[in-house]
Amino acid sequence: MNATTSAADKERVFRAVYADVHRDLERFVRRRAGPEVVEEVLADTFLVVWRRLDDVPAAPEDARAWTFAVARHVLLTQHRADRRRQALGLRLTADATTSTTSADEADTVARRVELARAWDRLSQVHQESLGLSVLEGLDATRAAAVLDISPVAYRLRLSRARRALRAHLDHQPPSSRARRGTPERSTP
Amino acid sequence: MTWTRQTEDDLRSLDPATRGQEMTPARHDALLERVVAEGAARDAAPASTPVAAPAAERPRRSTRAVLVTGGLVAAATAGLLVLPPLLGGGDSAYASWTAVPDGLTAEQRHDAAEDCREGYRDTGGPNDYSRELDDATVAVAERRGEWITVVLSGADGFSALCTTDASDPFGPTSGVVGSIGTTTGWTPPGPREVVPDALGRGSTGSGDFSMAAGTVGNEVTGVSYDSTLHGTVVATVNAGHFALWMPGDELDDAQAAGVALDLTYTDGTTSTVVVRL
Repeated sequence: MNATTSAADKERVFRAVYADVHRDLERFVRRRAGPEVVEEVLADTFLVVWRRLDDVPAAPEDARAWTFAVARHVLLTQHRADRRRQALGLRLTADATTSTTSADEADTVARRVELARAWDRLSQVHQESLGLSVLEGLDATRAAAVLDISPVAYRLRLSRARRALRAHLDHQPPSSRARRGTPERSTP
Repeated sequence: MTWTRQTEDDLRSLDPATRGQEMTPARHDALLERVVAEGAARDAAPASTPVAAPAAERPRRSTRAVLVTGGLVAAATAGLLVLPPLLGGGDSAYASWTAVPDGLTAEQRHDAAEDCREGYRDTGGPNDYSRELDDATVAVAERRGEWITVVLSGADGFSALCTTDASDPFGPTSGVVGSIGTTTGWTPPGPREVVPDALGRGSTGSGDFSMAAGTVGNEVTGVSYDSTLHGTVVATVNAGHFALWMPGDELDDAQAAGVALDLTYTDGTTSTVVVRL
């Protein structure tokens, strides 16, 4: 992005950036913070964007990832009492219901309940790695930029996160495994 | 359970951001006007308290700079990529490192190879070795304390090396070094030859390390290095490849000066050879 030459230019460019990213940025924050702080985190994040407007990448997808990185730093700073914290975990919703009424609905719900439980057992580092890929839809290069690590390191981390989730799914507590078989399932 | 598109669809179905109340357009408009007004006011009063944006303000570690200053030296290859060492490994000062490597369990070997493949896959550009990685097999898989090294080997001199700190609390992938590439004009080593393709010094958050890795002929059964700091450092030798490494920078100039390796052959004889890139 070119250097802003006037206050009017700066405001115009900022409004364009805001329009491009605000919805995705809100979702990014909502995945990682309680609803009561979302608006304040967004305000702090966009104030950084305002001040560093010349640093915002020109390409929309890069700009989106860049604002995610800023929001992540804002969120981590809110947790600075825990100095060891270097990752932001994500909590999935406990509501695993589907909008369909097909014969497989119960099985789908059971599968998602198991998935949510397995997710809760992941480390925050693994949750964060998977979240950037699956929920934010970032490629490795942009996800790595959010985390301030190399793309190779991010891919390694993502590989391990997937394996950890698979392992948790394969080793669900007996109670949840039993529940999975409970819903009645019709067969052709 | 395998990782499928359905797994990702299921995860997305549990996305908390798609449930509950999102901010309305009116609230976003209000937030936008609030930030614009506050930002403009701060611009007009630069001596006032700085905007709180702490972490984003810190100097960013440049991956490119780390690559230049800390990368492991590797052979002249076509499209070689040296993986930048990352800061912040969990094994401080390589405290767990051992001069003699241990093997890996089948599961550890599989996981380490999978991580190495995924780490280098789909990089795009001239350094994209996704196809070679698909065809590569595990030649070396060893453990020295908390540090795991794998070498994936493919046709025409292709190899990919990954050394990671399994104790790293952040992944565990913050402490990771390696190299990947295909040696230009590569020919198989002679029966009693050793040909390095990665040699020199690198660094992680745990400090400097020195590494030698490459290919060996089919009569070479053992490779070791007489370290001034650590005594005899034994390489893993398998499937025509060898790899050894040690804490410290004693191989810093090995690419030019060479490094003396002690070789053991199938007939029980030994020799010392000096190899360089």
